Amino acid sequence: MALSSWLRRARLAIVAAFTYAFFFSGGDPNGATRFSLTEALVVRHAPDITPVHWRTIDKGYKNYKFFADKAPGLSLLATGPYAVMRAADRATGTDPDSREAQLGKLYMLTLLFAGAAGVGTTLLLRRLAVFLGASARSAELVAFAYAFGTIAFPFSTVLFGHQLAAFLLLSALVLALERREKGTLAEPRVLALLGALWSLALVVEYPTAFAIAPAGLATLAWTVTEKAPKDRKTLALGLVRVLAWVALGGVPILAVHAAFSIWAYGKFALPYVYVSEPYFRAHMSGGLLGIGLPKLLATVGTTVSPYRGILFLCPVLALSLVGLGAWVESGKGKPALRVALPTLAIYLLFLCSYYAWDGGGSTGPRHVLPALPLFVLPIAFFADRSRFAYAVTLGLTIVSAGIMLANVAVLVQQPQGDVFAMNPFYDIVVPKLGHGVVAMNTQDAFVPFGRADSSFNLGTLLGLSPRASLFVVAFAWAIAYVLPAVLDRSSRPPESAHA
Amino acid sequence: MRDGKRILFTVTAALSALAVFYVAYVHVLASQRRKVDDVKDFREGFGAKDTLPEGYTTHVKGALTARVAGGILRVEGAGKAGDEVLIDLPPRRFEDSVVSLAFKTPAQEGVELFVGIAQSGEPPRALTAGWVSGPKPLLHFGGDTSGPYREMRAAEDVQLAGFGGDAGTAITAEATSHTIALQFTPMFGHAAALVDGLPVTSAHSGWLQATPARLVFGVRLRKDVPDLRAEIESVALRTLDWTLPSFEDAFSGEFVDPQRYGVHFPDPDLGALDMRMAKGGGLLMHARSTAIVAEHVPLFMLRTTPFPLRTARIAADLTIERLEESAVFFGLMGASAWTPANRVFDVGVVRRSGKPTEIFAGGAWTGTGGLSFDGAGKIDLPKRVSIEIRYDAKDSTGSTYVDGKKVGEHVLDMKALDFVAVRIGADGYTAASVADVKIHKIVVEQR
Repeated sequence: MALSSWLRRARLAIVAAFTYAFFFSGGDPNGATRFSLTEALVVRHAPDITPVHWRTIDKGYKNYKFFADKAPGLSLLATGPYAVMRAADRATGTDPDSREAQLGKLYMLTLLFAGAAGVGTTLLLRRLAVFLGASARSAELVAFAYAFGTIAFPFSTVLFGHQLAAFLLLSALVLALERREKGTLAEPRVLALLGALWSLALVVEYPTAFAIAPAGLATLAWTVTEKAPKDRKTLALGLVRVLAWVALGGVPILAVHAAFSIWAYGKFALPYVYVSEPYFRAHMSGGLLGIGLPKLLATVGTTVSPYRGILFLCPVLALSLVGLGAWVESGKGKPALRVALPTLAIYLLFLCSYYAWDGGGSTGPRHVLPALPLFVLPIAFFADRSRFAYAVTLGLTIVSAGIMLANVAVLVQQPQGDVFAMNPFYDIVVPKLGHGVVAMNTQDAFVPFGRADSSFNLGTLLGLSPRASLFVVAFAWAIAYVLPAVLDRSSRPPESAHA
Repeated sequence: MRDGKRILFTVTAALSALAVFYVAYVHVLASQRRKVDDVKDFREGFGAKDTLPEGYTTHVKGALTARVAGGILRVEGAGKAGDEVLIDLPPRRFEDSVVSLAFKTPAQEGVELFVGIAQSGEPPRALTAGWVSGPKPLLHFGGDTSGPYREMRAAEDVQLAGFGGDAGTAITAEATSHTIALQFTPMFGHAAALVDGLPVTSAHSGWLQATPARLVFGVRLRKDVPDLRAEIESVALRTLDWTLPSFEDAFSGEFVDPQRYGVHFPDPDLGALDMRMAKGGGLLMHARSTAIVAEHVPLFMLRTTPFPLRTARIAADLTIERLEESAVFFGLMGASAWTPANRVFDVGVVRRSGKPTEIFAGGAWTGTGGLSFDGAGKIDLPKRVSIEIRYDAKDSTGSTYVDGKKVGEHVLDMKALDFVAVRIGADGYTAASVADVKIHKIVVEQR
């Protein structure tokens, strides 16, 4: 019984960790530039990636040197684990520049900063749904839907910053909401932790500012109204106190970021300012760092198009809207709803206004990832409405998970093209799966040419056929959800005993 | 204090776990990669003993036999059309390379001696270059050239009669030694067939770097041959580097070095290229278009292997014999996934109907990736021109010179350490374009 209970609680974390670790989706310019910066910091003690800039197209150019053009947070965080792995290379006599060692480091960093972040976000989402009043059963279902039926799945297998940003943002939200409930939100260490989480999210992915703003304002409002201020002075003092503690947590992280920027560029500047690829530069110069007015093309492309449409690829997210309705109707978790609604609105607006709305080589519109948990959360309230609603959610989750599993198995970094003509899922993923082809990403983080061994999964690595390797994952999912039920049944006393 | 110790233990445990997991993973990766070794240079001359070397596997279709005798691999027997002796080597992880086969021309007609690379799997696939004997010998080139995104197959016979220009007749003479080679350069998505060191044809190829494949070679019959006597002298493989040491090439030998150059032929449906070494030195390129489906048709391109760009001087000495509705150009081109092929810095000559023939410098230097041009005046053809391009890696400045006179200087979009290639080529603008060019010399000096 204890084993069954433990399995029931831990299975989601186990299958998510196993699944994300199972797939290595290979290199791409985004991951290559982040990895190269980490490598430069540890090996060359330099902020530029000039000697290996040819690994990636995602780079900036300033004072005759090349720099990673992404927010440096993930790369800075990765220096510790990277240094440990370099030490392991020395200890075991491994050539740190051998292909195995390079791929091994990329895999481990991906696992730590995307895979683990994906698992963490999944568990936090389940916890938040229960905290807000959803049933444990629906919370488990939407967490599973998030982990495997949305683009959180593919982006937990590549070294991008979005999944880590999602984890940090959701951590902050859960912390704020739970502490608010306990009446301890105003504690200095809680506020400092919130400041640290938000700052870290910001330096990992700058657009998270769109999600931090509503969450931050809400936290501010909750904190200062926790003990109703008697007058304006008390209110002002309360505000200053909260901001000071939040700043205490956040400033060190922002200071490190600023120091890095000054070290790299000679002054404080965001890396995007120096983007060197002419194609990117032409777009980044429009609007505010590439963000302009909403466009119909981006709106259609992001939402319903077979090219990058999130609803096309993750049909379970079609329930987000009705989920919001159900959430409002339920009257539960109103404070969270007040954060979720503006966050979702701002993120949708951002997605429809950013020049690179399609996310380049991507499965779906990857820029939505930091806010994606909030798109999934409302579905728990819908699933709780009736058995039928639960069944619909379950059905769409299975379909979405199947689509995502196919995408992750075959190709996460899907090619760019015509919004109305391209259908990567049916044009590439399905036919390739039909021919027994998996792990077809040929982009490499270490050479500027396509390679046949850039991506793989643990199954094929250990000698399984491509098709058999996928059954391993499906089997793991099935066993995780069937085994506890079987254990329950076998440990249950016979009916006659009750009688 | 206890909390501090506990945190310290947790952190050290996590770091140890990371190191252990990483080392284990690298071991798995390494053991898996060792199942298929990286390809290495070799040459097998069958001279050591009268058996095939270890690891060589013979697959026979029909009544042919293969034996090693006197340093020669002899394929013999009374064969029928379709019979084949195929010898393969253990799989290797292929990089850019040239595989070649040296043989003696058989007396019989319809005998194909081939070399290439092949993969098992469902379906099996191969890419080969084969020399087909006869009074008008053929080059059979192609196979499955599909790649991850393209399902494309190409196989063609190219007439070899007259190949090699003045020395061309020698190729049909019985019992003379020749080589056939397949140049496999996935970094350019390109494969080419060479006979006696001269490129004969090429195709787009989707085979990737690190593709596990077997080197294959052998003999197959296109006709019934009652008394086959085919002789294979050696099989060899040489990998291509991603470096380009400084060189000066006057094309005074008998072949175009496949270690240094690749030649892109026009699509056979759109044009033709006749390429030959000139007596006394120089490489003659006679290219023409026969159809056009887009704005322009690539007539030919001779380009080097890719190399990381450093401060360099590249120069060419050309005689542009004739241009009809076409342009010829010499310079640098992007040559990696992240430095696209259209990121160029060239000097060229263009001739369009109703307009004077003009020299220009063109390239990506506006920061937009788009092309810009400097005019360098009008010329009359035929004309021998000396072109020089200098690139300063320190500030990405490129300058162009024609006959010693500076045409322009710009800060290029092409940056130091970008992977590039030196190229000379021609484009046609109509279905009846012609470009006749003699390349006297190409110089590459890198600092």
